[in-house]
Amino acid sequence: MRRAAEPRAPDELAAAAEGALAAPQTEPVDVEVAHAEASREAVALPMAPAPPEVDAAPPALPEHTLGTPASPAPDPPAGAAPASISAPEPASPSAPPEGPAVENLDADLDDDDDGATYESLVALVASLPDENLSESAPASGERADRAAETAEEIEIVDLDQDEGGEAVERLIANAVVGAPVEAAESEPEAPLIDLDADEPRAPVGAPAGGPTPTASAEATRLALAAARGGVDEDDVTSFSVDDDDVSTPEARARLLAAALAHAEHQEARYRVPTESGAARRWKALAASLVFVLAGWVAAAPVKWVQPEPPARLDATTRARGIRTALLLQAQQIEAFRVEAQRLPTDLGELPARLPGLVYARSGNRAYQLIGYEPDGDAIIYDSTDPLPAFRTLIDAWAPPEGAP
Amino acid sequence: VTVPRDRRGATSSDVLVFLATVTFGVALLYPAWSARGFRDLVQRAIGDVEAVASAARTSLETSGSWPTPGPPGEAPPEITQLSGDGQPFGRSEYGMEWTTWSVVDSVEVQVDLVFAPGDAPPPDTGPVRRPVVRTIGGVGVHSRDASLLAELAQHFTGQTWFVLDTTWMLVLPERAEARARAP
Repeated sequence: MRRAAEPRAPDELAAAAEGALAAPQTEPVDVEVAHAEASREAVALPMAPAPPEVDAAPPALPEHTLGTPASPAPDPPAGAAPASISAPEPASPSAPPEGPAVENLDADLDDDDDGATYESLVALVASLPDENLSESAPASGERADRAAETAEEIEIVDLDQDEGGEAVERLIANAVVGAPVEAAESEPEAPLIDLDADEPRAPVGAPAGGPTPTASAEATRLALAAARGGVDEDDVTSFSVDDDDVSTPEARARLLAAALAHAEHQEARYRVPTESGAARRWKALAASLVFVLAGWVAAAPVKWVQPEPPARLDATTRARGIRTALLLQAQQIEAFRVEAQRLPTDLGELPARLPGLVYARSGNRAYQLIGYEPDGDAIIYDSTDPLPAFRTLIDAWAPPEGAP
Repeated sequence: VTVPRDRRGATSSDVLVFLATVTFGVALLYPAWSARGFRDLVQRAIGDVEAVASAARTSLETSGSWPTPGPPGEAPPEITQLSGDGQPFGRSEYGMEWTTWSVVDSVEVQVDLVFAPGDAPPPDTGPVRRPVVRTIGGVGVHSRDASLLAELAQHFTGQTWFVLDTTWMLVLPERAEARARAP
């Protein structure tokens, strides 16, 4: 993690380093900054001599415990010389160090005051002779400078040159430190199934080398359903097409049976029914007879087929109706004469006129009305001497009794 | 190419027999079906005639006069509730008409004899008859279906009606109990 740090005064940096080393590890950012600042301070401080008691009896570790997370070494107190780090004697630099031990590299790196450099620690871990031991002081100073530069380094991101937004995502990730990190769930890879090169693999609990009894029964049932002439959707049981199922012989057998049943069902749709010639002739004859019977019933229906016929007006009833019409029209003429004291010139002068009647005047006081029956016979009403048939009809609208 | 054969299914002969059977059934049922429609028409016409006659008599009793006559298919202003779709004056199968007729009755009236004093009185001639005009109503049905008109005439047997050309007319006296008879 890169953080931009503003340069501070050496006193402030020293105080910050002491405070950071004394502070708990709950604030890693401050510790890191303080670590860089403490490294800078180490440049000005003189190299402290190694404690003699440590050189007298350097503890030897039979095993390197570097990198063992199960046994992390506790952080040493700030300013204390690590007892596990032993710098070789400057008088005999060629002698290989015996018994160098590194219990905690991070703790050792934090303690730069004892003069141990990064290279020396690496050499100790790798059991190599420390060639740079004599240059530990300047190396330590350079590393402190690099750490200070690193701490003050500011990342400059050119968003225009950013392709794919990786820099932006990285910046956002840096900005949201402390937010819960979503663990990217990688989708499990689907197993590839090569059916061509696939050997029959017996599923767990199923015998290898052929379909299971359940698959055979399913195939038989589908075949029987297809032989019946149709396979409904209910006959074909649905089964999943998961990769694990398809790869099994049972699934393949069921799939094959379903395909065969579907093919049989489709073929049955196009089957042409057949019959013998005699049956065809008998059916044709029966159809012809029924057609003739239907035509006869339509042309001359039998009595039990016919409903009640509608009413018809006979000639007598129609003639009486024409007489009634003539008498009613004559009443209109008489009413006109009572009011106008004359006969109308034609029927158009009357307020009510019946169609199909002919009006003929024979003087100032007599007239005739003529109607025609359907057969063309004329029915005449003479005002001077109406026929008796008209006299009987006039009682139809006679005034009620008691009327004036 | 071998066409699969099967004894199941319908052949052309089967289809022919089926069609013949259906045709025979239609020939049997069509008259009854057609008569049923005609019966419905007759019943509708009878109901319309009775509705118009009842409304006209109600108007006569309430106002003292018959409704105003109008052309076929047009309801009088006094019985406009019978106009519109589904009403007697709104039918498309036939035309309903309301009309009135004037009839003249000869009524006996007593004539007062006038003579000068000292003259011998004229011989008593008795009462004389004078014409009196009154109005009766009429409900007409216009249709080219002679069977419909005949059905109406048959249904209203006992009342005064007549059929002229394509019109059936029912005569309505002032009172329903008036002497009415079929021609």
